[in-house]
Amino acid sequence: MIAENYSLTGKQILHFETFGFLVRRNVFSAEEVAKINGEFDRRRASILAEIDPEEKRTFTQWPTRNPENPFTASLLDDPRIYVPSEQLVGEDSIPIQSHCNSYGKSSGWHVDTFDRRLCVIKNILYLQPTTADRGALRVIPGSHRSPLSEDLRNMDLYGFHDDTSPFLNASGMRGEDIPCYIFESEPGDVITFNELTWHAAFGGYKDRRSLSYNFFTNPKADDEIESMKKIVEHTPANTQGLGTVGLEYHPNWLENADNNPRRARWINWLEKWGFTDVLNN
Amino acid sequence: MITEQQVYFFKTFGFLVLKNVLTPAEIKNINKEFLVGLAKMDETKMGTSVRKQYNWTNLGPDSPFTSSLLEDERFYGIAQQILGDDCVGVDSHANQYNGNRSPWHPDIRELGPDQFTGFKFTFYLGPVDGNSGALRVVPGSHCPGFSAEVEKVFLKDNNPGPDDDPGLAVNEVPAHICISEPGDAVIFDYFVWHSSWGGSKDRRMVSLQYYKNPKTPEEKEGMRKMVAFRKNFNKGFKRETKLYPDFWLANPNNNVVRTQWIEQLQKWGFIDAVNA
Repeated sequence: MIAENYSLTGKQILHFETFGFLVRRNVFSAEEVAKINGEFDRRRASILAEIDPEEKRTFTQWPTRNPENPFTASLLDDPRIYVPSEQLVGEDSIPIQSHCNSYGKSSGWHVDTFDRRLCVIKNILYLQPTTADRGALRVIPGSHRSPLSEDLRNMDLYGFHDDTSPFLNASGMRGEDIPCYIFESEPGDVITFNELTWHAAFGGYKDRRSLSYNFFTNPKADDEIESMKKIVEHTPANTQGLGTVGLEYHPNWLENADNNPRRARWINWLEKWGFTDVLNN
Repeated sequence: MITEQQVYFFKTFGFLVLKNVLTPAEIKNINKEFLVGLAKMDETKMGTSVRKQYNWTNLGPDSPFTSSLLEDERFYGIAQQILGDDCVGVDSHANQYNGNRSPWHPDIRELGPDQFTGFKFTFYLGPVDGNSGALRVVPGSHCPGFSAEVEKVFLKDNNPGPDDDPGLAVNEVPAHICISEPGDAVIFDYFVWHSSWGGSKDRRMVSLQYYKNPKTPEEKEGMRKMVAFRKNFNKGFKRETKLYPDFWLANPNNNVVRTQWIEQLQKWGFIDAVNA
């Protein structure tokens, strides 16, 4: 059954706050997933033809906000994505980045940020079935919290690739030996996690696909504003490091032809903070 | 002995799985002694919770090998690594579960980690996985802040929400599943949240329990509370025998370690309290 009530219940919010993530099943239909995969096929093929014809890259990422994948782009304006996100991060939260991701291998244990001054969440839709040994996202429940978050950092678990984790190297353990919840999923399911939550995926394979939509707290307090300034400053280098292909905010999306008020608010905010400059240049 | 990384793993996540600690021959021996204890159980001694649990001490004359494991270097040595050289082996139990689940709980709620430190080795005598009664743990939930948050989660079995949405079943709580084969052992901190799901009848588990020797005033006060807690806790089990049988207290082989433990347990008032 496709989720029709977009709002999270109090229990779902408590689950997210307690464990640092939330799973929603059957949020998108098989037909919708097929449409997304069709757009993904075409866009990926054209990107590879242009920049990586020998398919040597192990990670290819491009922004969703692009008219070449109109249905995928529209999901940001879909209440199934923005309503729960606003409940978790604030009604005035902003989706700074939204990406199509094609992975070529596993992802070792990592967090997306260590900065706990701003709350950032990521919604992920996997476009293929995932299992423990075939690319399922793993999350360590409660690892967005102190002291577990810091303990994991201090134990030197961090390593985007298994062989770069000092703890795994020293202990002889594999990434799969780290205790976690394994998000085995079908296309159409959505997992939302706090970017402080430790996560990984093993059993990677060529063209493992996901869509990701992250939402940031609108900074108000001084420390939040300071944190956001640093994000603006570091975003170009981070994006370059990931090799993101194309403009984050396509002119067609910025044009907002339908005068969507929510999108208008986002665009104003992105312009005010300089993201349209740093991510489109 | 365990490695430095394994100690860190245990302290971080509140549990640790050890593979092939006991040999097949030892498991056979433990099973043999287990059956002697089980033969003395009847329905009147079965716990009333969904666990449908029989629980008896391994410290009696029916289970000399199982009893000796408490002093075995493979377990006591690890306990010393984690809890200090003067830690105390306090207990060993046999458990047979006949229910299909154990609801989520930490073993101790009454004290904080500044007051008490201890853990339990558990080993299952048959293979267990996520759908056949393996231990489930919420990693890191031995930390007070996280534990308090887990406490708020509605759980169908023992912390239900409203009738129309009573909360999570045991297998719906995000957790790590400690898949185990006979011979493996799981160490877990008393404060870590744990459960099991899908256990069949006659699921057999043996535990060995160790406490840190209290040093600080908070720990000494904690031990006083623990003595009171264990006195009441034991009333919940329908046991026929004393927790510390005369056989174990007599220490027939004059085991030096056991002599020290008995002295310590008496000093804490533990033996009198739980044997009363």
